[in-house]
Amino acid sequence: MKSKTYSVFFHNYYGKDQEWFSFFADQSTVPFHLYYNCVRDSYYRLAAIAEPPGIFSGESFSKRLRLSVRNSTNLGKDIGGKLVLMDAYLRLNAKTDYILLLHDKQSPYHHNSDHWRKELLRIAGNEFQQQVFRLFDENPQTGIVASKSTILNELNNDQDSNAYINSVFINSLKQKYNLSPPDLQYVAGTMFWVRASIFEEFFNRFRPLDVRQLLEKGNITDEAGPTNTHAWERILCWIVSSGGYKIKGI
Amino acid sequence: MLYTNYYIIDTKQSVDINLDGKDGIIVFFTKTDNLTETYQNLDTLSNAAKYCLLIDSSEHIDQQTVELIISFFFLPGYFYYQGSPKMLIQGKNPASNQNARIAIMDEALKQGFEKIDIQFVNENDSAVFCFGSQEMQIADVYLNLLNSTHLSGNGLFIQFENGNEIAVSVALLRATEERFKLDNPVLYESKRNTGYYNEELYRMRALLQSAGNELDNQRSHAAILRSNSMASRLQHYYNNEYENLPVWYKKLGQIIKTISGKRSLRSAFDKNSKKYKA
Repeated sequence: MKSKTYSVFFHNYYGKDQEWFSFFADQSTVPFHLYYNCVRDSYYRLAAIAEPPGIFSGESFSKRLRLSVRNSTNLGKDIGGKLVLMDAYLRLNAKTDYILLLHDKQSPYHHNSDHWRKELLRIAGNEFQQQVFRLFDENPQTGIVASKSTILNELNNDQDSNAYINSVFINSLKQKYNLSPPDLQYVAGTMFWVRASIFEEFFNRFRPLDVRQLLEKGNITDEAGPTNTHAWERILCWIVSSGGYKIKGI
Repeated sequence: MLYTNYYIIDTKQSVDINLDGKDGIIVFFTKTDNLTETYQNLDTLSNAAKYCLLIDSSEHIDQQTVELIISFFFLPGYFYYQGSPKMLIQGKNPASNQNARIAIMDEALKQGFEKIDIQFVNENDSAVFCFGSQEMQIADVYLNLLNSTHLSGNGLFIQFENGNEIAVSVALLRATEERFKLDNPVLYESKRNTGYYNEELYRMRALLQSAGNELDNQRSHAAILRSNSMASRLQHYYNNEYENLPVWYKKLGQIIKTISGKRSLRSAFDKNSKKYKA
Protein backbone atom coordinates (compact mmCIF):
# COMPACT_ATOMS: atom_id res chain seq x y z
CA MET A 1 0.00 0.00 0.00
CA LYS A 2 1.27 3.47 -0.90
CA SER A 3 2.31 5.33 2.25
CA LYS A 4 0.28 8.41 3.09
CA THR A 5 1.70 11.87 2.65
CA TYR A 6 0.77 14.98 4.54
CA SER A 7 1.52 18.66 4.92
CA VAL A 8 1.47 20.70 8.11
CA PHE A 9 0.31 24.32 8.00
CA PHE A 10 1.68 26.03 11.09
CA HIS A 11 1.07 29.67 11.92
CA ASN A 12 3.48 31.31 14.35
CA TYR A 13 2.79 34.58 16.15
CA TYR A 14 4.75 34.17 19.37
CA GLY A 15 8.17 33.30 17.87
CA LYS A 16 10.42 30.63 19.46
CA ASP A 17 11.01 29.05 16.07
CA GLN A 18 13.74 26.69 17.22
CA GLU A 19 11.45 25.19 19.84
CA TRP A 20 8.73 24.64 17.28
CA PHE A 21 11.13 23.12 14.74
CA SER A 22 12.30 20.69 17.42
CA PHE A 23 8.66 19.94 18.23
CA PHE A 24 7.91 19.09 14.62
CA ALA A 25 11.12 17.16 14.07
CA ASP A 26 10.11 14.91 16.99
CA GLN A 27 6.50 14.42 16.02
CA SER A 28 6.48 12.16 13.04
CA THR A 29 8.14 9.06 11.65
CA VAL A 30 6.61 9.77 8.23
CA PRO A 31 8.19 12.40 5.91
CA PHE A 32 6.11 15.54 5.64
CA HIS A 33 6.19 19.07 4.26
CA LEU A 34 6.04 21.79 6.92
CA TYR A 35 4.61 25.11 5.77
CA TYR A 36 5.59 27.60 8.46
CA ASN A 37 4.14 31.10 8.54
CA CYS A 38 5.61 33.84 10.72
CA VAL A 39 3.91 37.15 11.48
CA ARG A 40 6.71 39.45 10.45
CA ASP A 41 5.75 42.43 12.63
CA SER A 42 4.81 40.48 15.74
CA TYR A 43 6.33 42.03 18.86
CA TYR A 44 7.60 38.59 19.90
CA ARG A 45 9.52 38.27 16.63
CA LEU A 46 10.89 41.82 16.49
CA ALA A 47 11.92 41.84 20.14
CA ALA A 48 13.68 38.47 19.99
CA ILE A 49 17.33 38.40 19.04
CA ALA A 50 17.03 35.28 16.98
CA GLU A 51 17.87 33.91 13.58
CA PRO A 52 15.59 35.23 10.88
CA PRO A 53 13.05 32.56 9.97
CA GLY A 54 14.21 32.47 6.38
CA ILE A 55 17.49 30.90 7.39
CA PHE A 56 15.77 27.52 7.66
CA SER A 57 13.94 27.79 4.40
CA GLY A 58 14.17 25.15 1.74
CA GLU A 59 16.74 23.02 3.48
CA SER A 60 15.67 19.92 5.34
CA PHE A 61 16.80 20.34 8.91
CA SER A 62 15.49 16.86 9.36
CA LYS A 63 15.56 14.17 6.69
CA ARG A 64 11.88 13.61 7.30
CA LEU A 65 10.90 17.18 6.82
CA ARG A 66 10.79 19.66 3.95
CA LEU A 67 10.31 23.24 5.02
CA SER A 68 8.66 26.21 3.30
CA VAL A 69 8.67 29.42 5.31
CA ARG A 70 6.44 32.40 4.68
CA ASN A 71 6.43 35.81 6.41
CA SER A 72 3.02 37.40 6.47
CA THR A 73 1.27 40.50 7.68
CA ASN A 74 -0.97 40.21 10.74
CA LEU A 75 -4.28 39.83 8.94
CA GLY A 76 -6.91 37.32 10.00
CA LYS A 77 -4.85 35.93 12.89
CA ASP A 78 -4.04 32.23 12.48
CA ILE A 79 -6.77 31.80 9.85
CA GLY A 80 -5.08 34.46 7.69
CA GLY A 81 -1.71 32.76 8.18
CA LYS A 82 -3.12 29.38 7.21
CA LEU A 83 -4.60 30.95 4.07
CA VAL A 84 -1.15 32.32 3.14
CA LEU A 85 0.16 28.76 3.52
CA MET A 86 -2.70 27.34 1.46
CA ASP A 87 -1.77 29.86 -1.23
CA ALA A 88 1.85 28.60 -1.11
CA TYR A 89 0.68 24.96 -1.20
CA LEU A 90 -1.38 25.57 -4.35
CA ARG A 91 1.28 27.69 -6.08
CA LEU A 92 3.88 24.99 -5.46
CA ASN A 93 1.49 22.45 -7.03
CA ALA A 94 1.80 20.38 -3.89
CA LYS A 95 -0.20 17.20 -3.63
CA THR A 96 -0.57 15.39 -0.33
CA ASP A 97 -3.23 13.14 1.14
CA TYR A 98 -3.86 15.18 4.27
CA ILE A 99 -3.23 18.60 5.72
CA LEU A 100 -2.76 19.28 9.43
CA LEU A 101 -3.67 22.81 10.53
CA LEU A 102 -1.91 24.09 13.65
CA HIS A 103 -0.77 27.31 15.31
CA ASP A 104 1.01 28.46 18.45
CA LYS A 105 -2.24 29.18 20.22
CA GLN A 106 -2.24 31.32 23.34
CA SER A 107 -5.52 32.72 24.59
CA PRO A 108 -4.63 34.62 27.75
CA TYR A 109 -8.25 35.72 28.11
CA HIS A 110 -9.60 32.13 28.24
CA HIS A 111 -10.06 30.54 31.65
CA ASN A 112 -8.57 27.19 30.57
CA SER A 113 -6.11 28.35 27.94
CA ASP A 114 -3.31 25.87 28.81
CA HIS A 115 -5.58 22.83 28.90
CA TRP A 116 -7.17 23.90 25.62
CA ARG A 117 -3.79 24.33 23.94
CA LYS A 118 -2.67 20.84 25.02
CA GLU A 119 -5.88 19.31 23.72
CA LEU A 120 -5.36 21.00 20.37
CA LEU A 121 -1.67 20.23 19.95
CA ARG A 122 -1.92 16.55 20.87
CA ILE A 123 -3.26 15.88 17.37
CA ALA A 124 0.25 16.43 15.96
CA GLY A 125 1.66 13.54 17.99
CA ASN A 126 2.85 10.32 16.43
CA GLU A 127 0.31 8.12 18.26
CA PHE A 128 -2.53 10.35 17.17
CA GLN A 129 -1.32 10.23 13.56
CA GLN A 130 -1.72 6.47 13.30
CA GLN A 131 -5.31 6.74 14.47
CA VAL A 132 -5.96 9.63 12.09
CA PHE A 133 -4.68 7.75 9.05
CA ARG A 134 -6.77 4.71 10.04
CA LEU A 135 -9.91 6.82 10.36
CA PHE A 136 -9.35 8.40 6.95
CA ASP A 137 -8.56 4.99 5.41
CA GLU A 138 -11.51 3.18 6.90
CA ASN A 139 -14.08 5.67 5.72
CA PRO A 140 -13.63 7.76 2.56
CA GLN A 141 -16.33 10.09 3.91
CA THR A 142 -14.15 11.12 6.84
CA GLY A 143 -13.19 14.70 6.01
CA ILE A 144 -11.78 16.05 9.26
CA VAL A 145 -10.20 14.41 12.30
CA ALA A 146 -9.68 16.46 15.46
CA SER A 147 -9.28 16.19 19.18
CA LYS A 148 -12.73 15.11 20.39
CA SER A 149 -13.18 17.79 23.02
CA THR A 150 -12.56 20.56 20.49
CA ILE A 151 -15.42 19.58 18.21
CA LEU A 152 -18.29 21.91 19.03
CA ASN A 153 -21.67 22.66 17.58
CA GLU A 154 -22.38 26.31 16.90
CA LEU A 155 -25.95 25.77 18.16
CA ASN A 156 -24.51 25.34 21.64
CA ASN A 157 -22.51 28.53 21.46
CA ASP A 158 -24.46 31.09 23.41
CA GLN A 159 -21.62 33.58 23.21
CA ASP A 160 -22.74 35.42 20.16
CA SER A 161 -26.43 34.69 20.08
CA ASN A 162 -27.08 33.63 16.50
CA ALA A 163 -24.08 35.42 14.97
CA TYR A 164 -22.62 32.31 13.37
CA ILE A 165 -25.85 30.28 13.18
CA ASN A 166 -28.31 31.99 11.00
CA SER A 167 -27.60 35.72 10.96
CA VAL A 168 -27.55 37.78 7.78
CA PHE A 169 -23.79 37.95 8.23
CA ILE A 170 -23.15 34.20 8.24
CA ASN A 171 -25.83 33.46 5.65
CA SER A 172 -24.23 35.84 3.19
CA LEU A 173 -20.89 34.07 3.63
CA LYS A 174 -22.52 30.65 3.19
CA GLN A 175 -24.23 31.87 0.06
CA LYS A 176 -21.08 33.43 -1.36
CA TYR A 177 -19.15 30.19 -1.02
CA ASN A 178 -22.06 27.84 -1.86
CA LEU A 179 -22.03 26.18 1.54
CA SER A 180 -24.93 24.24 3.00
CA PRO A 181 -23.60 22.19 5.90
CA PRO A 182 -26.01 19.55 7.28
CA ASP A 183 -25.21 20.71 10.82
CA LEU A 184 -23.16 23.43 12.51
CA GLN A 185 -20.33 21.27 13.85
CA TYR A 186 -16.89 22.82 13.75
CA VAL A 187 -13.48 22.42 15.37
CA ALA A 188 -12.87 25.27 17.81
CA GLY A 189 -9.28 26.50 17.68
CA THR A 190 -8.85 25.54 14.02
CA MET A 191 -6.39 22.73 14.62
CA PHE A 192 -7.34 19.56 12.78
CA TRP A 193 -6.48 17.07 10.07
CA VAL A 194 -8.34 17.45 6.82
CA ARG A 195 -8.47 15.41 3.65
CA ALA A 196 -6.33 17.64 1.40
CA SER A 197 -8.35 17.13 -1.79
CA ILE A 198 -11.36 18.91 -0.22
CA PHE A 199 -9.39 22.08 0.50
CA GLU A 200 -7.52 21.86 -2.82
CA GLU A 201 -10.79 21.77 -4.72
CA PHE A 202 -12.37 24.63 -2.73
CA PHE A 203 -9.36 26.96 -2.72
CA ASN A 204 -8.71 26.45 -6.40
CA ARG A 205 -12.16 27.98 -6.91
CA PHE A 206 -11.92 30.65 -4.20
CA ARG A 207 -8.28 31.77 -4.02
CA PRO A 208 -6.95 31.78 -0.43
CA LEU A 209 -5.64 35.36 -0.64
CA ASP A 210 -9.01 36.58 -1.95
CA VAL A 211 -10.60 35.10 1.15
CA ARG A 212 -7.87 36.52 3.36
CA GLN A 213 -8.30 40.10 2.20
CA LEU A 214 -11.73 40.19 3.86
CA LEU A 215 -10.39 39.21 7.28
CA GLU A 216 -9.70 41.69 10.06
CA LYS A 217 -6.29 43.16 10.93
CA GLY A 218 -4.52 42.57 14.22
CA ASN A 219 -5.30 40.36 17.18
CA ILE A 220 -9.05 40.77 17.15
CA THR A 221 -11.53 38.86 19.31
CA ASP A 222 -15.23 38.35 18.71
CA GLU A 223 -16.27 39.28 22.23
CA ALA A 224 -18.01 42.41 20.99
CA GLY A 225 -19.56 40.90 17.89
CA PRO A 226 -18.99 38.46 15.03
CA THR A 227 -15.95 38.84 12.80
CA ASN A 228 -15.07 37.43 9.39
CA THR A 229 -12.00 35.84 10.93
CA HIS A 230 -14.01 33.92 13.52
CA ALA A 231 -16.66 33.07 10.92
CA TRP A 232 -13.90 31.40 8.88
CA GLU A 233 -12.98 29.30 11.91
CA ARG A 234 -16.40 27.70 11.31
CA ILE A 235 -16.43 27.90 7.53
CA LEU A 236 -13.22 25.90 7.14
CA CYS A 237 -15.11 22.99 8.69
CA TRP A 238 -18.36 23.68 6.86
CA ILE A 239 -16.52 23.50 3.53
CA VAL A 240 -15.87 19.89 4.49
CA SER A 241 -19.29 19.00 5.88
CA SER A 242 -21.06 20.70 2.95
CA GLY A 243 -19.36 18.15 0.70
CA GLY A 244 -20.97 15.32 2.67
CA TYR A 245 -17.84 14.54 4.67
CA LYS A 246 -17.86 13.85 8.40
CA ILE A 247 -15.94 15.39 11.28
CA LYS A 248 -14.47 12.67 13.50
CA GLY A 249 -13.04 13.09 16.99
CA ILE A 250 -10.37 11.12 18.83
CA MET B 1 28.30 48.41 1.44
CA LEU B 2 27.30 52.04 1.79
CA TYR B 3 24.44 51.72 -0.69
CA THR B 4 21.97 49.00 -1.59
CA ASN B 5 22.99 47.81 -5.04
CA TYR B 6 20.67 45.81 -7.27
CA TYR B 7 21.90 43.03 -9.59
CA ILE B 8 19.38 42.34 -12.33
CA ILE B 9 19.29 38.91 -13.99
CA ASP B 10 16.83 37.10 -16.17
CA THR B 11 15.07 34.32 -14.24
CA LYS B 12 15.71 31.85 -17.04
CA GLN B 13 19.07 31.55 -15.35
CA SER B 14 19.45 29.62 -12.12
CA VAL B 15 18.00 31.51 -9.17
CA ASP B 16 20.38 29.81 -6.78
CA ILE B 17 22.93 32.62 -6.69
CA ASN B 18 24.71 32.81 -3.37
CA LEU B 19 24.95 36.47 -2.53
CA ASP B 20 24.93 37.85 0.99
CA GLY B 21 22.16 40.40 1.46
CA LYS B 22 24.80 42.88 2.69
CA ASP B 23 26.39 42.86 -0.78
CA GLY B 24 23.17 43.83 -2.47
CA ILE B 25 19.90 42.55 -3.81
CA ILE B 26 19.33 40.10 -6.64
CA VAL B 27 16.61 41.36 -8.96
CA PHE B 28 14.78 38.73 -10.93
CA PHE B 29 13.66 40.21 -14.21
CA THR B 30 10.68 38.02 -14.87
CA LYS B 31 8.31 37.57 -17.76
CA THR B 32 4.82 37.31 -16.35
CA ASP B 33 4.31 33.83 -17.82
CA ASN B 34 7.46 32.73 -16.00
CA LEU B 35 6.42 33.97 -12.57
CA THR B 36 5.02 30.68 -11.27
CA GLU B 37 8.20 28.80 -12.12
CA THR B 38 10.29 31.53 -10.45
CA TYR B 39 8.12 31.34 -7.33
CA GLN B 40 8.56 27.57 -7.16
CA ASN B 41 12.33 27.83 -7.57
CA LEU B 42 12.61 30.48 -4.88
CA ASP B 43 10.75 28.27 -2.40
CA THR B 44 13.73 25.94 -2.35
CA LEU B 45 16.34 28.69 -2.11
CA SER B 46 18.24 27.97 1.08
CA ASN B 47 20.94 30.63 1.16
CA ALA B 48 20.83 34.07 2.77
CA ALA B 49 20.35 35.93 -0.53
CA LYS B 50 17.80 38.73 -0.65
CA TYR B 51 15.89 39.31 -3.85
CA CYS B 52 13.05 41.25 -5.42
CA LEU B 53 11.14 41.28 -8.69
CA LEU B 54 11.41 43.45 -11.79
CA ILE B 55 8.59 43.32 -14.31
CA ASP B 56 8.06 45.07 -17.62
CA SER B 57 4.83 47.05 -17.62
CA SER B 58 4.41 46.62 -21.37
CA GLU B 59 3.46 43.00 -20.70
CA HIS B 60 -0.15 42.08 -20.00
CA ILE B 61 -0.51 42.31 -16.20
CA ASP B 62 -3.87 40.87 -15.24
CA GLN B 63 -5.39 40.30 -11.82
CA GLN B 64 -3.98 36.77 -11.54
CA THR B 65 -0.47 38.10 -12.22
CA VAL B 66 -0.87 40.79 -9.57
CA GLU B 67 -2.05 38.19 -7.03
CA LEU B 68 0.95 36.02 -7.83
CA ILE B 69 3.31 38.98 -7.34
CA ILE B 70 1.79 39.52 -3.87
CA SER B 71 2.54 35.85 -3.03
CA PHE B 72 6.25 36.60 -3.66
CA PHE B 73 6.14 39.24 -0.90
CA PHE B 74 5.53 36.47 1.64
CA LEU B 75 8.68 34.55 0.67
CA PRO B 76 11.32 34.72 3.43
CA GLY B 77 14.11 35.93 1.12
CA TYR B 78 12.04 38.69 -0.44
CA PHE B 79 13.69 42.07 0.11
CA TYR B 80 11.91 44.62 2.30
CA TYR B 81 13.19 48.16 2.43
CA GLN B 82 12.31 49.63 5.82
CA GLY B 83 9.38 47.30 6.30
CA SER B 84 7.97 47.52 2.78
CA PRO B 85 8.42 44.96 0.00
CA LYS B 86 10.60 46.34 -2.80
CA MET B 87 9.38 46.01 -6.37
CA LEU B 88 10.89 47.32 -9.60
CA ILE B 89 8.98 48.20 -12.75
CA GLN B 90 10.40 49.14 -16.12
CA GLY B 91 8.64 50.21 -19.28
CA LYS B 92 8.67 53.01 -21.80
CA ASN B 93 5.04 53.98 -21.31
CA PRO B 94 4.56 56.03 -18.11
CA ALA B 95 0.82 55.29 -18.04
CA SER B 96 1.44 51.52 -18.14
CA ASN B 97 4.03 51.90 -15.38
CA GLN B 98 1.54 53.76 -13.21
CA ASN B 99 -1.24 51.27 -13.90
CA ALA B 100 0.98 48.37 -12.90
CA ARG B 101 2.06 50.24 -9.78
CA ILE B 102 -1.49 51.04 -8.72
CA ALA B 103 -2.72 47.47 -9.34
CA ILE B 104 0.09 45.99 -7.21
CA MET B 105 -0.30 48.60 -4.46
CA ASP B 106 -4.08 48.05 -4.24
CA GLU B 107 -3.75 44.31 -3.98
CA ALA B 108 -0.95 44.55 -1.42
CA LEU B 109 -2.95 46.92 0.80
CA LYS B 110 -5.77 44.36 0.86
CA GLN B 111 -3.28 41.82 2.20
CA GLY B 112 -2.37 44.01 5.17
CA PHE B 113 0.75 45.73 3.78
CA GLU B 114 0.88 49.39 4.72
CA LYS B 115 3.13 50.37 1.86
CA ILE B 116 4.98 48.88 -1.10
CA ASP B 117 8.29 50.36 -2.19
CA ILE B 118 7.78 50.42 -5.96
CA GLN B 119 10.48 51.99 -8.06
CA PHE B 120 10.62 52.62 -11.78
CA VAL B 121 13.94 51.80 -13.39
CA ASN B 122 15.15 53.10 -16.68
CA GLU B 123 18.16 51.62 -18.42
CA ASN B 124 18.88 55.01 -20.00
CA ASP B 125 19.43 56.59 -16.57
CA SER B 126 23.22 56.52 -16.73
CA ALA B 127 23.54 57.98 -13.22
CA VAL B 128 22.48 54.70 -11.63
CA PHE B 129 22.00 52.11 -14.40
CA CYS B 130 24.88 49.99 -15.74
CA PHE B 131 25.48 46.76 -17.59
CA GLY B 132 27.52 44.01 -15.95
CA SER B 133 29.89 43.72 -18.88
CA GLN B 134 31.01 47.37 -18.63
CA GLU B 135 33.32 47.17 -15.64
CA MET B 136 34.96 50.57 -16.07
CA GLN B 137 31.57 52.24 -16.30
CA ILE B 138 30.39 50.52 -13.09
CA ALA B 139 33.41 51.75 -11.15
CA ASP B 140 33.02 55.31 -12.45
CA VAL B 141 29.28 55.51 -11.82
CA TYR B 142 29.67 54.11 -8.34
CA LEU B 143 32.47 56.55 -7.53
CA ASN B 144 30.23 59.42 -8.66
CA LEU B 145 27.52 58.17 -6.33
CA LEU B 146 29.99 57.89 -3.45
CA ASN B 147 31.09 61.46 -4.04
CA SER B 148 27.52 62.73 -4.26
CA THR B 149 25.40 64.28 -1.51
CA HIS B 150 23.22 61.17 -1.59
CA LEU B 151 24.01 59.70 1.85
CA SER B 152 22.41 56.24 1.89
CA GLY B 153 19.71 54.07 0.34
CA ASN B 154 19.58 52.88 -3.26
CA GLY B 155 22.83 52.39 -5.13
CA LEU B 156 23.31 51.10 -8.65
CA PHE B 157 21.09 48.95 -10.82
CA ILE B 158 23.34 46.61 -12.79
CA GLN B 159 21.94 44.33 -15.45
CA PHE B 160 23.71 41.04 -16.23
CA GLU B 161 23.59 38.64 -19.13
CA ASN B 162 25.04 35.95 -16.93
CA GLY B 163 24.47 35.55 -13.18
CA ASN B 164 28.06 34.37 -12.69
CA GLU B 165 29.26 37.90 -13.48
CA ILE B 166 27.60 39.28 -10.33
CA ALA B 167 30.50 38.21 -8.10
CA VAL B 168 32.93 40.15 -10.31
CA SER B 169 30.85 43.32 -10.03
CA VAL B 170 30.46 42.94 -6.27
CA ALA B 171 34.26 42.72 -5.94
CA LEU B 172 34.61 45.78 -8.15
CA LEU B 173 32.12 47.80 -6.11
CA ARG B 174 33.86 46.78 -2.90
CA ALA B 175 37.25 47.83 -4.29
CA THR B 176 35.79 51.17 -5.42
CA GLU B 177 34.40 51.73 -1.95
CA GLU B 178 37.76 50.88 -0.37
CA ARG B 179 39.46 53.42 -2.62
CA PHE B 180 36.87 56.03 -1.68
CA LYS B 181 37.40 55.23 2.00
CA LEU B 182 41.17 55.83 1.71
CA ASP B 183 40.68 59.10 -0.18
CA ASN B 184 37.77 60.41 1.93
CA PRO B 185 37.86 58.76 5.37
CA VAL B 186 35.60 61.31 7.09
CA LEU B 187 32.98 61.35 4.35
CA TYR B 188 33.05 57.54 4.22
CA GLU B 189 32.49 57.31 7.97
CA SER B 190 29.69 59.86 7.78
CA LYS B 191 27.89 57.92 5.04
CA ARG B 192 28.38 54.63 6.86
CA ASN B 193 26.93 56.09 10.06
CA THR B 194 23.98 57.57 8.18
CA GLY B 195 23.09 54.16 6.76
CA TYR B 196 23.52 52.47 10.12
CA TYR B 197 21.42 54.98 12.07
CA ASN B 198 18.72 54.99 9.42
CA GLU B 199 18.41 51.24 9.79
CA GLU B 200 18.47 51.43 13.58
CA LEU B 201 15.85 54.16 13.53
CA TYR B 202 13.57 52.06 11.37
CA ARG B 203 14.16 48.98 13.56
CA MET B 204 13.36 50.84 16.77
CA ARG B 205 10.26 52.46 15.28
CA ALA B 206 8.98 49.05 14.14
CA LEU B 207 9.68 47.59 17.58
CA LEU B 208 7.94 50.50 19.28
CA GLN B 209 4.89 50.11 17.07
CA SER B 210 4.71 46.35 17.66
CA ALA B 211 5.09 46.89 21.42
CA GLY B 212 2.23 49.41 21.27
CA ASN B 213 0.08 46.89 19.42
CA GLU B 214 0.91 44.22 21.95
CA LEU B 215 0.04 46.57 24.80
CA ASP B 216 -3.35 47.16 23.17
CA ASN B 217 -3.83 43.39 22.92
CA GLN B 218 -3.06 42.95 26.61
CA ARG B 219 -5.49 45.73 27.52
CA SER B 220 -8.17 44.07 25.46
CA HIS B 221 -7.48 40.69 27.14
CA ALA B 222 -7.65 42.34 30.56
CA ALA B 223 -10.98 43.95 29.66
CA ILE B 224 -12.40 40.58 28.66
CA LEU B 225 -11.21 39.00 31.89
CA ARG B 226 -12.63 41.89 33.95
CA SER B 227 -15.97 41.61 32.19
CA ASN B 228 -16.39 38.12 33.71
CA SER B 229 -17.68 36.86 30.41
CA MET B 230 -15.50 33.77 30.71
CA ALA B 231 -16.76 33.06 34.23
CA SER B 232 -20.37 33.50 33.09
CA ARG B 233 -19.78 31.17 30.19
CA LEU B 234 -18.26 28.56 32.49
CA GLN B 235 -21.15 28.93 34.95
CA HIS B 236 -23.64 28.59 32.12
CA TYR B 237 -21.89 25.42 30.94
CA TYR B 238 -21.84 24.01 34.48
CA ASN B 239 -25.52 24.78 35.08
CA ASN B 240 -26.60 23.05 31.91
CA GLU B 241 -24.25 20.08 32.06
CA TYR B 242 -24.23 19.27 35.83
CA GLU B 243 -26.38 21.48 38.00
CA ASN B 244 -29.66 20.32 36.52
CA LEU B 245 -28.94 16.60 37.07
CA PRO B 246 -31.30 14.85 39.58
CA VAL B 247 -30.19 14.95 43.23
CA TRP B 248 -30.05 11.14 43.56
CA TYR B 249 -27.66 11.05 40.59
CA LYS B 250 -25.40 13.62 42.17
CA LYS B 251 -25.41 11.70 45.49
CA LEU B 252 -24.53 8.50 43.69
CA GLY B 253 -21.70 10.43 42.06
CA GLN B 254 -20.40 11.46 45.50
CA ILE B 255 -20.35 7.79 46.60
CA ILE B 256 -18.39 6.85 43.46
CA LYS B 257 -15.97 9.69 44.07
CA THR B 258 -15.38 8.48 47.62
CA ILE B 259 -14.88 4.86 46.53
CA SER B 260 -12.45 5.91 43.81
CA GLY B 261 -10.47 8.01 46.32
CA LYS B 262 -11.30 11.38 44.84
CA ARG B 263 -13.11 12.50 48.03
CA SER B 264 -12.34 11.67 51.65
CA LEU B 265 -14.82 9.38 53.42
CA ARG B 266 -14.67 11.50 56.57
CA SER B 267 -15.97 14.54 54.71
CA ALA B 268 -19.27 12.72 54.03
CA PHE B 269 -20.02 12.81 57.78
CA ASP B 270 -17.95 15.68 59.06
CA LYS B 271 -18.37 19.13 57.56
CA ASN B 272 -15.12 20.27 59.17
CA SER B 273 -12.97 17.71 57.41
CA LYS B 274 -11.17 18.35 54.18
CA LYS B 275 -12.95 17.08 51.07
CA TYR B 276 -10.10 16.91 48.60
CA LYS B 277 -6.39 16.33 48.90
CA ALA B 278 -5.26 19.43 47.03
